[in-house]
Amino acid sequence: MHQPHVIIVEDDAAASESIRCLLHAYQFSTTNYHSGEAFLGVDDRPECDCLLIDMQLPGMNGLQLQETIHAMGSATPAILISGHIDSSTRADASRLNVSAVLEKPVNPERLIREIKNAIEN
Amino acid sequence: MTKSQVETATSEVGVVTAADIPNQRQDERFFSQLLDSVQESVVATDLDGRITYWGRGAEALYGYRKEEVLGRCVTIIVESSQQEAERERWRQVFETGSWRGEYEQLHKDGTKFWASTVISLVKNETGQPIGFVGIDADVTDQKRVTEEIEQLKLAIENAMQGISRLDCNGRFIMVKPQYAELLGYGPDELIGESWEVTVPPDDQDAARAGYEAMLRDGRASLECRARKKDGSVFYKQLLLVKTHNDCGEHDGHYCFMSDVTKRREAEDKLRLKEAELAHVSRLSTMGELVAGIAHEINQPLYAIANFAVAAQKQLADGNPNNADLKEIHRHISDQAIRAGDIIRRLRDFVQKTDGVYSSVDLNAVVQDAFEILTPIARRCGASVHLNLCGCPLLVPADRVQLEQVIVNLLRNAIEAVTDRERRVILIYTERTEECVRFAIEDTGDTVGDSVVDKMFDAFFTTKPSGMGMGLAISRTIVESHGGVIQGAAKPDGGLRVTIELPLSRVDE
Repeated sequence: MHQPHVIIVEDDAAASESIRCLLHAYQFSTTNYHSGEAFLGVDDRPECDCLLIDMQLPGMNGLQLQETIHAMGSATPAILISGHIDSSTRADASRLNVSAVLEKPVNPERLIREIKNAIEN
Repeated sequence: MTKSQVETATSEVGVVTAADIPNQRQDERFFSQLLDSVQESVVATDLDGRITYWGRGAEALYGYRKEEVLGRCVTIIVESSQQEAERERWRQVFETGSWRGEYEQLHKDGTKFWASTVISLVKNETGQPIGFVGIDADVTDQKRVTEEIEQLKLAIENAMQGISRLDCNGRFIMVKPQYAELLGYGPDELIGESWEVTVPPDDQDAARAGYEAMLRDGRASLECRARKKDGSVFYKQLLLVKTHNDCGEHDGHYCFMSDVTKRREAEDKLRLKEAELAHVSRLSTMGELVAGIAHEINQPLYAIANFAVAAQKQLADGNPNNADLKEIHRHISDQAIRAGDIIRRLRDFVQKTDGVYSSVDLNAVVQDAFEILTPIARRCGASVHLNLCGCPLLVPADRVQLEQVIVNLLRNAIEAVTDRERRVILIYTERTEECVRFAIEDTGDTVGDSVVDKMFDAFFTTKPSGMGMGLAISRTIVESHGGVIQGAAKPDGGLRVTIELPLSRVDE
């Protein structure tokens, strides 16, 4: 069976590691990046089924990253995770192929559900 | 010539004129020479004050030659405004026979001087008054010295309410009544006692340090608590001055004491008010930081929840990997501690302080302030670089208040660089011979001199929503720590603020 691959962009090392552990327990494989620039700067980005992007990143923020990815023609679904979500973020997100905007702290089981949803749709 | 010598001389003249003149009447030459030999000025007048005799002493004292003044009114020796007073003196002499005192007189060249004067009534053989004779001596120098001594005495008595003297074993050998009274003792009760009975045990080390400094430097001043005879305490200020015997050997010291309780209480009250204001300001800072803080606490909670569910899933699947689980549990406890640390920092930051100073590492304070503001800095995209001195920088300080200053400055810097192209903040700490220095630089807008001049004033702000209290409170805090805070515009734009704080003493 194909193991779904999730790319995690999160600058907080502990949060990043915790998502990796969580997703591995749920049989996802992962690649972690600590910033949007780090992700975009990689030449051979692995194929992935879903992007999990933290909103508050050093440099470009999560939404700007997704905007860039979207502009590059990627159709990969993304989930944005933010400490604080305002309505304009939601509006921007809805036109950028973002399947969910989640507010921290996220219930881990909900996170898994959202990732599965994003991949299946 | 001392005052008593002057008096002796004048009374001798009085003896000669009163008793011997009748016997010497025939020898006018002798009489005239006798008067001219008197060092003091001798001036005789008729009853209207017209000068009839002007001796050599008078020529020296007033600068007029005899020929210039004979027949003129003697009021030339006082200012015109004093002429009436001069006539009043004659009236008194006429009634009582003499007048004695000191008053200001006038030299020919217009300079004024103080003279000690005796004016006597001159009578003829039948006892009829025929004129006056005045004997004057310049006492200006003497008077000045006396006044200086009086002022000095007054100053000492006012500045220092009590005076005592101790021998080189620290026992009282002389105690002025006021000194004893301040301490609640009778006038002689302290004689022979050791100084230790007048200082509470907790303060004796401080007093001893002052004593050592006095032995070393000849004098020392210190403040400590005093213990009264009934056991109650007050704050006293002491000035210790080393004393020596005739051979120049140290034989004890003077102890000048004043009660500074009222001043200490006023200072304590002021400190309390300042602390309250600083506390209110911290609470308001905290209010502004709350969104960032919520995010900061969310991070570890988010991680903990993920780790915990990952572990649950492994267990539920019946295929747990022990090494994995151990690692996950380590992560969970690390993150719980991290959340706890954030809470601790915040609680420390908003707590009320008692104003008690302890030895604080400035580097650690900067680190804590930096951590509190990291979420805000991150949100604004500001990069904060810490260049902290490699060794701990110990300063005597109220830790919470010091952190408040650093938080204020860093927050200002973050606000200054927000929306700027370059958003860099540099923080340095270093130690010099005399002090510990903290500096913060930002790449904010160019700052004008008028802003730099006023930036530490209360209610001065360049921010639309600011109250203008942050830097004013920061300055109050720095200054109450004996430090200096300064701002300067950087030539390439932005602001540099430096703080210098006195070092903790090595023996603390």
